[in-house]
Amino acid sequence: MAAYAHNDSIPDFDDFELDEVVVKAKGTSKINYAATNTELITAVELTRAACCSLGESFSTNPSVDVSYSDAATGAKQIKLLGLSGSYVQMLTENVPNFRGVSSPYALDFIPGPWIQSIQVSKGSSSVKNGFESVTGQINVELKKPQLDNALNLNAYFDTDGKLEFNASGNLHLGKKWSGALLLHGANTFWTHDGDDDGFIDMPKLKRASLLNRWAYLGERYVFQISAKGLLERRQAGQIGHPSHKLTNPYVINVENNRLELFTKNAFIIDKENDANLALILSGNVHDLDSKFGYKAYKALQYDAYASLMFERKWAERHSLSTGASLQYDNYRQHYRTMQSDASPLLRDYTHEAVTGLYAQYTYNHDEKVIAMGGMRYDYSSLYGSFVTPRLHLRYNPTEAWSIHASAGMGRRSPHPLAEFSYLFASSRRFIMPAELRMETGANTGGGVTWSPESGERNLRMSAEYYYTHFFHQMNADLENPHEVAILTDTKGYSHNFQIEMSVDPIEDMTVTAAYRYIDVKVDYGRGYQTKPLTSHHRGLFSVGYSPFMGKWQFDATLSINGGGVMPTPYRMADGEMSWSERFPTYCTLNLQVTRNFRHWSIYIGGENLTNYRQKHPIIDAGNPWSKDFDATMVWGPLSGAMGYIGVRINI
Amino acid sequence: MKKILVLAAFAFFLINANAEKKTVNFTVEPALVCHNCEAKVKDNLRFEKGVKAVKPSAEKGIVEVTFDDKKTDVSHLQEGFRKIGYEATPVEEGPEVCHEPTTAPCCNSKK
Repeated sequence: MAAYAHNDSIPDFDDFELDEVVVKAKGTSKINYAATNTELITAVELTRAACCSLGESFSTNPSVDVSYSDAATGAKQIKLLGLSGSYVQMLTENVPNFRGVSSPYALDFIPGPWIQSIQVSKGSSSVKNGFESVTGQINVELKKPQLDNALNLNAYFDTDGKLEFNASGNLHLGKKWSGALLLHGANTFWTHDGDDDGFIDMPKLKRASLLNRWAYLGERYVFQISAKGLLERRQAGQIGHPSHKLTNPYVINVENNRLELFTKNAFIIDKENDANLALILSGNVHDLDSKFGYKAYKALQYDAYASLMFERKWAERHSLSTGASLQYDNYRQHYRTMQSDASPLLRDYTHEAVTGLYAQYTYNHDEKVIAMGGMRYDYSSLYGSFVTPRLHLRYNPTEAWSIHASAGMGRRSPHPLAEFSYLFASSRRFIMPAELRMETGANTGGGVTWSPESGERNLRMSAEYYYTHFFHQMNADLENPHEVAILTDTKGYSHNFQIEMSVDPIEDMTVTAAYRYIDVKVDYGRGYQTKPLTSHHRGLFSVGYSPFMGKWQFDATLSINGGGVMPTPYRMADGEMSWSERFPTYCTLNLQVTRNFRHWSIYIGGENLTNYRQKHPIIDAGNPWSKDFDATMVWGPLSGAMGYIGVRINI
Repeated sequence: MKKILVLAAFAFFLINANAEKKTVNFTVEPALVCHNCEAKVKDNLRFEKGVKAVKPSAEKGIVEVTFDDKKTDVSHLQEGFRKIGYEATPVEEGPEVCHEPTTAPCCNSKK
């Protein structure tokens, strides 16, 4: 616990201590003893909704927006501070993950029941994990083998025809060794076409994944190893039960195969001053094969990561973290952007090695004043050298008040095909950028939290503001309806303001209300304009009631998504406008009831119970081979109300 | 049929109307040391028949259990404690009992 107070990312042997305490904590909590603006979503919070995968685990969280990238593949994307999830660094167990080819589908790759907790950091994060985060960082901690000597099973079924099965089991061998096996399987049994446009609303999905991990907890040495495999097949498009036989149906096929491996070694040099040396090694292989009609994107990505970190504290007040890292990525990509079988597959092979050094100093005065400053120097084999400084400040004048501020820079290597391949689900001509350059962004902001101790009402209020500026940004310009131009020299900025309140009005009930204002502007080369397909306002209202000592749980979440602008509409061949200039404000309502027993629990619920859906999200769905076809103009829910039921067993 | 249902409902209501809520404080061995211990006791004891409320306090070293005395009693509750590895002893009302923190196994281990 103590070490976490001084560090943004937890030194690994302290991972275990932190989880011991928070595993029982309910809900989402703000961490007032960390320099960064971090929220912790625990596994208990994840039981409030269906939370089948990581992407669905943010449904009760006002800071993270999750939406579908397009109307066909089911790929989800997140937005933090109103900006694309690509500017959020994704970590699993504090190791960078889901970079490049896997990023459009990554949110479905971690099953909800595998998750122990999710840490969401807003604003630039610590330099320890690298230079890639601009708007924030999301770290997913999976269920640890040394915590529960148990077997957990979960079965889930919904009215969209999806059946999921999850299992996790732990094994303890003596006092020091522990191992875990986590399993996941999912299958879609039927499809539906609610808006009758000939395209199935949700993809037909088959997925299996397995994770095996081992941990050794010694006096002076801590070791962890984890291996994960995933196989996923998705099918979308005109594959339902058509009322008329189609001679040439438009079909989307996406196959993801992924292998992840990491090992962590921590050597505790001196327990007195938390001096430790840690070595993290990780490697991933991802094989993506996607076809959108005749358009195709096939990619094989190998990436390897090594990080050596040394940390030490002085007098419980000063701590230093320093280290070196190496990140290697190898992409072998084949693609066809023409909607014709005769067109050849183009090749794009690229590889990049980035070596870096960092130093971070933290000053902590009795957890009243925390100042953390870090600097990173990296050298990329493709883009040369650069620095990314970060600064975080926190001031806790009393137990009730906490004020935080941060500033920092971040960089990203652009991979246009890997990040924007979902735009192949259209007839738009995909224009690759003339030149690739690193995206460079800066983020600054701060906020205040007030949580008075008085009474048992658990009142907590917070307000925060962040400004992000991109000096160089990669964007997909959708202005021309028959083109998608990937530009690497765009500029942009965003203002994000959020207020949040949570209170327990009566015993056993927690009410959360949040409002966010977002203003995102991009300059595609025509001057600054509001970024299309981004809401200006977002509201969230959530109630959780667990009476009878938690034997019953009732959860309701109302999400309000404000309207925004669309790319400029055009007049189509039949005289109709392609879409409206603006998309409207809409609400979605989720409800769930859970009954907990000693060794098992059953839950039943519904999502989007107001049955709101975006009408005709697919442009020219009747003629998918025509030049107007476009499944990427998505701003709202793609399927109507859905019901689900599930069972969890804990032995 | 309808008459039987009404009578049954009335009887059910009568039985429950007489249900007495009793609160007993227990000290436990091994003592509650941290939040994890409190949670373990609360999460498990709540499923015992007749238990209405469980309030463990590591600070005070006691577990306050409120129960329906028609459905359970002190010895059944003590059985409930034994299932999770605790020996519980009821205490009279009086000054708060404090226990020296011991090396309670629950704080370092699982379940």
